Amino acid sequence: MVNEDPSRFTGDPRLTELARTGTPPPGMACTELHKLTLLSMLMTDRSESDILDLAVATVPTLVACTGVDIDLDTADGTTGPSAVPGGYAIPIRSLNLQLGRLIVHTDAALDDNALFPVQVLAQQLAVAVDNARRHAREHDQVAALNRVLRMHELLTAVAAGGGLAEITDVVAELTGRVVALEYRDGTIQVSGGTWAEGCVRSPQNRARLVERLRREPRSVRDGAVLVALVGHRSDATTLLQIADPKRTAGEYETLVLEYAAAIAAVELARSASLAEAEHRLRLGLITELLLGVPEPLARARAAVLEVDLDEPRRVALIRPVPAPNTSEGSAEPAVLDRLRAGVERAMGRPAGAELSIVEAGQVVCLAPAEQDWVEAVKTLRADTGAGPCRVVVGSTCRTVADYPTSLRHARQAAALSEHGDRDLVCFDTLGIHRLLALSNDAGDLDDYIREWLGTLIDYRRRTSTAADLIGTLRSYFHSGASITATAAALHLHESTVKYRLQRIVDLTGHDLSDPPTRFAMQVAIHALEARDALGPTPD
Amino acid sequence: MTNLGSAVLDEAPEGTHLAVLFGDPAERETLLTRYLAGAVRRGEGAVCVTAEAAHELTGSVRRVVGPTAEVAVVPTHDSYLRGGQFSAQFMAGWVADLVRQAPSGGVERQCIAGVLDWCGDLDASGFEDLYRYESTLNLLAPTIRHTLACFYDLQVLPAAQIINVLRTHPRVVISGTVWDSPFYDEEELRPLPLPQ
Repeated sequence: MVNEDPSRFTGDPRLTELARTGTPPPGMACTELHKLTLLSMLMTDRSESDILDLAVATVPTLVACTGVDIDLDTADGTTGPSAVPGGYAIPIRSLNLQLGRLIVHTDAALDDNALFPVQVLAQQLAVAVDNARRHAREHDQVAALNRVLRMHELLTAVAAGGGLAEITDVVAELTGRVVALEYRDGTIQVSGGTWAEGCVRSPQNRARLVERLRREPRSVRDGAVLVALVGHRSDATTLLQIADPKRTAGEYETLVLEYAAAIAAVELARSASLAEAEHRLRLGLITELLLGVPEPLARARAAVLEVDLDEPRRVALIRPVPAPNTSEGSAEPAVLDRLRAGVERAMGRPAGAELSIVEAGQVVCLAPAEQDWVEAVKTLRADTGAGPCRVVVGSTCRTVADYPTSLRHARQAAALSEHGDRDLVCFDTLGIHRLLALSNDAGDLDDYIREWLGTLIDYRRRTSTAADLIGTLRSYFHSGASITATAAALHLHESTVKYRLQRIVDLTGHDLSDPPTRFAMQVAIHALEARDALGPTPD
Repeated sequence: MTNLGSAVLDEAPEGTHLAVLFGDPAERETLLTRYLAGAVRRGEGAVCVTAEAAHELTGSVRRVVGPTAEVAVVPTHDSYLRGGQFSAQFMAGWVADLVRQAPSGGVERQCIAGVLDWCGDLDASGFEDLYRYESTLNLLAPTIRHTLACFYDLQVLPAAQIINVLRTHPRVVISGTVWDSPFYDEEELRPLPLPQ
């Protein structure tokens, strides 16, 4: 029961004797010793409160008393019983330890011998309480260690196979709190409940917080939130956050947050890398289709990206329209990126399924053939992220080999409509220009133009100051062969128009009153417009 | 000091009333099985009042003694808590009937165990009633050949009540060892009239 010399800390030689001989001192019956022995067994492996309750219940069986109290607030340094109002105080003490006093209330005077069993009990009590406290501390330490091990286990598992959503789920599970992952654009991914409105920051406050986090070595508290930067401090902008409205989060929650932020950083980088790789593959596929790569190669790449090349598509060119009072020129890359994202949104394609690239100051998009472009243009116009733009849609691609043609047609349509003010032009609705564009032999087109308009073209080259006979002829045909309308369009007198038309007849030898001749010349005018707009036809 | 050793639990002397304190389910199973298996080995009746399933308790005893061992298991709700709450009056009569009817069933002697793992729900007057019942068993035990063992769960029994259990049982089992209880005092007991 007592291994050390008890008198060292109790100052009572009777304890020394009891420890040495096992014989109770005078005034202490064997029964009391027996009780204390059983009590010491019962105090083992119990909580502090249970031990105190046991002691309080035992004292009346050791000494005549009217009540028992335990005072754990007073440690007055006494080594033996002392009289207090209404009773006696016995120090609850053991080696290097004084825990308080055991107060025995009694109406009668008690001598040292009568109080000795209580004194022994108080010493047992001190040892038992000290052990219970140590045990409780160990228990807490083991519980804390187990929590950390569980954290390690769950986060390691999620690091090996989970995404960012799983990481935030695990943080919510481990901390029992609402967790939010906030991306650079303010998008928030929440786990474990609802992210309080009050925890959402303004862009300015967010920027300030990110700057602060970049200066700090660890996570920080920002109001009711613990927050850590996800990624390298030099460039990270994503935030992992734990809601802590009652400000009770401690070292464990901080540890979970920072551990998870480190794992999330790796996952974020991996996701970005994967997305980048897939994006590059998509760019490669689109470029190859537009250039006319052999079909097996295109199909192999498309299979990797799960793109169905048998689905009919059209090539669409979307060019940002500069704001009024700004100079024409190539749009900024950021503007084009936003436009590309807007085009994908307008077509309802999810992230990762895009089929568009930015090229030569415009977005080149492989759109579903049945895409409702009128609606899409309306959507784009309303999309503040995309900005105003102009859309030109090529012909339908039914096979892999059709993509270059669709691109050429889209470009031709864009060139033919360049000076127009329509924000949507479809190759299929170009009329005679579409027919002319379908011609693959530039020489035939030139021969035709020269046959019907060669004289006028040469006349224009020879005499730069001469009247614009080709322009007059174009207006004449566009106005339905009306001299009055032509004069109005060109701001000329009707007699001037008549003179010019006669001059045309004289120079070309073609009779404009003859319907077949007039139709042939009208086609030649369109062909000239198309050739001027399109430039040399590609091989 | 009177440490009676662990053999008392195996032998279960006639006319003994003892409290068996256990700290966890494993200790309960060990002590209960040992007590009941001892009775079966000696050809005595083994009776247990418990909430535990009969087949589980009997299975535990059979694993120790053999496949033919039988334990009469009485559910707690048919004895201690009949009618939904504990009644010292009823329970004392119930035990008296049990021991009185034993010979007619061809059993001269029984080892009777009662598992009081439900007593944590008692209030002060409930505990008062319980100790009156235990006191009554102290009157009954010396008059019969049977052994009465009350199994108390230290996880359930409030610490402040442990000393009262020791005061109302002449013998106690703590950590598997049987002791004469130094807290037991016949003069302190307030038993009910012994059921006739």
